[in-house]
Formats: sequence, structure tokens, C-alpha cells
Amino acid sequence: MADYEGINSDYIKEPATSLSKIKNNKFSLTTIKEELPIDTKAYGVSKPKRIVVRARIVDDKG
Amino acid sequence: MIKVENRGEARVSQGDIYRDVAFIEYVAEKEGNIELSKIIFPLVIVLTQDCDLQQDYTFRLRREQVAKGEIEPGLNFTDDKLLISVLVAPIYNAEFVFRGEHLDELNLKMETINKNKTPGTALMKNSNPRYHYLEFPENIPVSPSIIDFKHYFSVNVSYLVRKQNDRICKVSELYREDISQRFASFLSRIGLPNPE
Repeated sequence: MADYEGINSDYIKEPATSLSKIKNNKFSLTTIKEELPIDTKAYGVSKPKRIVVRARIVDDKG
Repeated sequence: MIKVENRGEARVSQGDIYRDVAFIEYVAEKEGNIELSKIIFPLVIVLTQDCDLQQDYTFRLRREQVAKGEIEPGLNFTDDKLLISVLVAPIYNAEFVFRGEHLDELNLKMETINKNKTPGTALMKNSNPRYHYLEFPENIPVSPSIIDFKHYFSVNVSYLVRKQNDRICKVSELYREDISQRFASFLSRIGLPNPE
């Protein structure tokens, strides 16, 4: 099944939408590839990711 | 195939499966700049014993009621049953694990496992102490998965309580005890030296 670019449909328990439906719902293939929308109900197809957050402490005491 | 329940209790329970759980690797501060690194695991399963979680929940509920003045604390009211954290283990997509690719977004190259030969078939029969293979019922939208006991970590209880909307399902009794029992066996294994 070639509806999802770059994703083996074997990984997806319930492939919920076809390409045309994706377009009607304004989902791009990039969006599908990077982050599956919740309503596709396909968990466990993504991998652990590292996020690094940086912030600066602001001294508001002057 | 395991049995699961779609709706768990209001509290955190043994066998609960949550999505997008964060593990804090480090927090560093230097010259007014803070850097925090965390790993987001797409799926984790709660391994802590359910009786401990039940007692913790009861204690927190009671403490809340005492704070609001709804009940009296009582002479024997202590913090003894409070949990500091909950043990969880990540659940990975089985295909990614067999290919050794499940952690490649963390730049980690893992061992490949041939699922058609003994290492793979043993893993899928839950004969490999490190892993637990899971196949979910059709109504649960999770692909065949593998728990890696070696990657267990702890999370704050309150953090999981706030993530109740991210709870996917709960592994049913017996199946969840089987997982926790295998996890305990993995932790308590003894490696003997190779004979000279």
C-alpha cells in the first residue's frame, strides 16, 4: 500500500485514511510521516526522541 | 495475544500503558543558562506493583481531603505509603527492534535480531529474559511490540496522574503480573563468570 510515503503499512494497525482523504483533511504527507494524527489510532509506530530545551534565567530583582 | 482493558481506574495502575512519557536525562545550569535534555518515549508500561499504587492513591486522596478540611487526619496518619516514583519500561515497535533501529533517533545502534531464527523466535515466546513480546487485540491500535526491561526508568507519580488522557489501555490481570514477574526476574538475575 503506497498511501503513506516512507511508512511500511505493516506497522500501522488501522490505516485510517487514503491519500485523497488525507488531502481533504489538509494533512500533508510530511505530517503523516513525522507525526501520525491521533485519529489514525496507530500507536507505537514512532521512535523515542531526544528534546533539548534551553532557557535563560532572568533576574527580575534588578 | 494479551488481554487489555480500554478503561482503567482513575488512578495509575500496574500494567497501564501511556504514550509520550518523558525521561529527564539531565538539567544543567551555567552562568544563568539552563539546559534540559529529555527523551520522549512513545509508549511505556507501568511495572510498579498495583498494591503500592493503590496505597499511594488512597494516601494522596486522603491527604487532599485533610488539606481541604473535609476529614480529620487521625493519630496514625503518616506519609508511609507515599511513592516517590513509579517504575516504567519502554515499549518499542517489534519490527524496529528486530532491525535494531528502534533507538536510531537517539543515535543509538542496537543489535539486530533475526526473527525467523532462534533468537527471534525465543524472544517472541518470551524466553529471552530481557524482553517481553506483546501482541494486542484487534480493537487496540498498537502494533506488535516489545518491552525492553533493560531500559526501565522511573517517573514522578504526579506526572503520570496528569497524563491520564494519554493512557491508551491497561494490560489485564495475570498478563500484567506476568510482565512484572519477568521484570523482577530480569533485575535479580545473577551473571556467573565464565569458567577459566
